[in-house]
Amino acid sequence: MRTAGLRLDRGPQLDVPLRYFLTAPLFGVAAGLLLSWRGAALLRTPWHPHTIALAHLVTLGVLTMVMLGALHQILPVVVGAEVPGARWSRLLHPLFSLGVLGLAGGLLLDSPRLLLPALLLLAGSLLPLLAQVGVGLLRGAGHSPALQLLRLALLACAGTVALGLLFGLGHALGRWPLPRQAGLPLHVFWSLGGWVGALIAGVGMTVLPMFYLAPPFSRGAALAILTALAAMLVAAPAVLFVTDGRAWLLLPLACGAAALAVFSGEAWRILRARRRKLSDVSLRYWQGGLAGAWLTLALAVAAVLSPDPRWVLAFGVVYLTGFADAVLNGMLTRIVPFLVWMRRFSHVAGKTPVPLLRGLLPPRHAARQQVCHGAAVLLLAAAALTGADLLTRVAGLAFALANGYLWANLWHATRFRPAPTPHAGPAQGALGAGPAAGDSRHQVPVGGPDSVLD
Amino acid sequence: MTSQHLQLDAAHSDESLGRLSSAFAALAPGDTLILETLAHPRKLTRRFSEAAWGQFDWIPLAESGGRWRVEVRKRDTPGPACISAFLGEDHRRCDGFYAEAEEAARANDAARAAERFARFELCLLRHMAMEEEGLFGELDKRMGFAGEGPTSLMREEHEQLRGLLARLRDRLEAGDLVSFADVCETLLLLMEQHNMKEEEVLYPLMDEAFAGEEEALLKQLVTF
Repeated sequence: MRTAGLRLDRGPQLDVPLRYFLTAPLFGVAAGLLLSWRGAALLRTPWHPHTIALAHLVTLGVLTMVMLGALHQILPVVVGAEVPGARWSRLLHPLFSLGVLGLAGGLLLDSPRLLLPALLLLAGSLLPLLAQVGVGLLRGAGHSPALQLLRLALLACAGTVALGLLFGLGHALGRWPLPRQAGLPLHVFWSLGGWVGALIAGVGMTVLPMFYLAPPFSRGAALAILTALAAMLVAAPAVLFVTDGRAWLLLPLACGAAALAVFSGEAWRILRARRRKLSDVSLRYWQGGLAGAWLTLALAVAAVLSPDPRWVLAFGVVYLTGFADAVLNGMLTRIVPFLVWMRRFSHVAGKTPVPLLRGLLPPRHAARQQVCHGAAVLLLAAAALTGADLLTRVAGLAFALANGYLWANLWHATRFRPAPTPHAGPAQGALGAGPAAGDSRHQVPVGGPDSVLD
Repeated sequence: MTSQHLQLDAAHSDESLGRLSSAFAALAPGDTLILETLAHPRKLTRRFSEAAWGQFDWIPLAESGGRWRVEVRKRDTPGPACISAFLGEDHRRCDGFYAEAEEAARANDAARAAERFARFELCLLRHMAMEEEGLFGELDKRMGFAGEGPTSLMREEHEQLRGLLARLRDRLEAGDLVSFADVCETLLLLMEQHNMKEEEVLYPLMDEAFAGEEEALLKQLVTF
């Protein structure tokens, strides 16, 4: 084991993960509003530039945004090493955000003048971010399947970004360096299966036992997921560039489906066997996300059996929102209040009154937000399957509302700060029997009337 | 699974060790013995370990006015052979006691919540003492960490956990089970991310640093 320099880092400064976590729901709002504005035209084929713009608002703006923040935060816990130069996120995060906006705008307006700088921004932000996380992962101790999945996810993301940049340039300049028929599906395999799938699997293996006192993933299941995803990432380019038959696509698809089936089944099993039987919103989000994974598998089968592109669209919509986004919503609901608590209050816990986690993000608001998200997923799935214009617009609004509500919840949690002096009266919901701190000019009252949601 | 009781007035005598050994020998694998002593059973534990190492779990359940109550479970599988397995198993034990205490509080069962919390508190405090007094100092010395190593953050988090345990005790004594359960949730997340850092990074480091000395160290730790 590598021991030199091992410090068990505290993790990055609070603003580093929070900037990603708080930006992601805003891109979700943008995606929902775009869908609501353009309606069913965006859900006719996966390959229309406007549909691709919508997809990237979700995959880059929401999912990748959250996952980058999560990687910064989780590395010190799982490998004992920080992402080096994490403070550079203060520059790279806005560049990345602008890049995503520019990419969506360029595709929607069919404007190479917007698309080219956007691609430059994406390359200039994502590649350094991936390199930083990669160095952290390589420096870290351990060889667990969860850690290998994180490494696999990062490789897949690098490949996805490289392909995406090539296609973006091709679209902007009208020249295609790779055969599109092969490259586009490969981009999808590596992004949805490799980047999103492997990362959620690796993070899930890490946090489910931790958050819910569940038993660990069995080694057999963990290795099966890792093997199936690795096989998918290798099989996809082999099949797409060597063969020209649609039937061969079933091979990487089957590998990805097997990984998703094993992951969702094993995650469900350990959650059922958890020692802490109490339920909360983040747990219900995980359960909902796993149900979304099973629905995704059913839609994948339908997409294989039927030539109707609506099955493919529904598959993508449910995978991205009903599985990946649901799981990430649950994680944010749990992690953001905890990070705020850890960074701002843990060092004074037991000495002065500090807020409780449920004071930072009241469970009733988290529960209502989850209802909004669940309704949005169902509406989106129905819209993708029916192609009904009004339903699509309503689904878009529901998705925007769910993301707006999530943002408000997270923002509420981040407003709490410790009091500068320990002299005022007790604060409702505060932790500590002694006198509460409370200079209202500097402190957001703990659970008090100033809070956004109470 | 059955459980027997054994009360020992003189915890350290040869007679006490004999009675404990006989009672333990009569247990079937998986069965437990509830041992009550009038003083900390450290010396008894040490001597019992020499005779039955790897065959039992030693789980202090309660301490009050110098009296100790310990669960001695006869293992049906060999005991942990390395530090990471031993301390990881102890984490799971703390988790189990925690879950029972929180569940009792949510069910508004004050008596059960108090009893289960006492178990959890004792288990967690003992676990932290094993690490701080039995391992961290020596690890720092051997790895040349000089107070800057991975143990410094762990000690800090132990202090935070102790602070939250004290708050929980206050809430319980005030009869405020709702608030108790709310504080529990905060402690849970702090404890679990702490445990994960230890299990993923620190314990493997300890296994490496103390290779070849595991049994002697574990026999020392079990007496805490």
